[in-house]
Amino acid sequence: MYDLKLHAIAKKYKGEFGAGSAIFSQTDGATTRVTFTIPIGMTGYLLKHGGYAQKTDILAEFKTETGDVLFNWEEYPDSTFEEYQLPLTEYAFKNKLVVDFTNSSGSSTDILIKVSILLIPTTKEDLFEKAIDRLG
Amino acid sequence: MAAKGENAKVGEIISESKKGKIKVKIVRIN
Repeated sequence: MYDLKLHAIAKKYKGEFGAGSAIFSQTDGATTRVTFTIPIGMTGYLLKHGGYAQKTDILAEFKTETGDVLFNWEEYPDSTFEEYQLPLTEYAFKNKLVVDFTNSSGSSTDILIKVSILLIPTTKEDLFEKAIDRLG
Repeated sequence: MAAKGENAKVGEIISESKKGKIKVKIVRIN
């Protein structure tokens, strides 16, 4: 029912569900930035984040465009894809979601990341969040 | 799709793509 209500509220406020993914190789000690850019005039709500690498000791720092840290994913999954659902409306951003990956594993690894984002017109952001709050 | 970027230099764009309304860019920054 939670997803059905979320879809109904998202539709009411002209929201759109989107996804982004990236796969890349990274040498030991390197930092790679993955940027997810959403249209101007939209607010992005990070709903889910998933991924995996081939090695341990991969850090993923989720940030806003201005560098504010949303959260760190410190135990990045190795070998097996994992995906987590986030508290709704807690990780909102404008324009860009930035994820910085640091590889401290001692060798190269491939890294996969996938995010699910709900896009809501920024003009309807307050109404959307109030509608979500009323579900609680 | 093969992963790319192992030999990327600092500042180099590894890939850019767009699916739906979300653009994805991968850059080595350090």
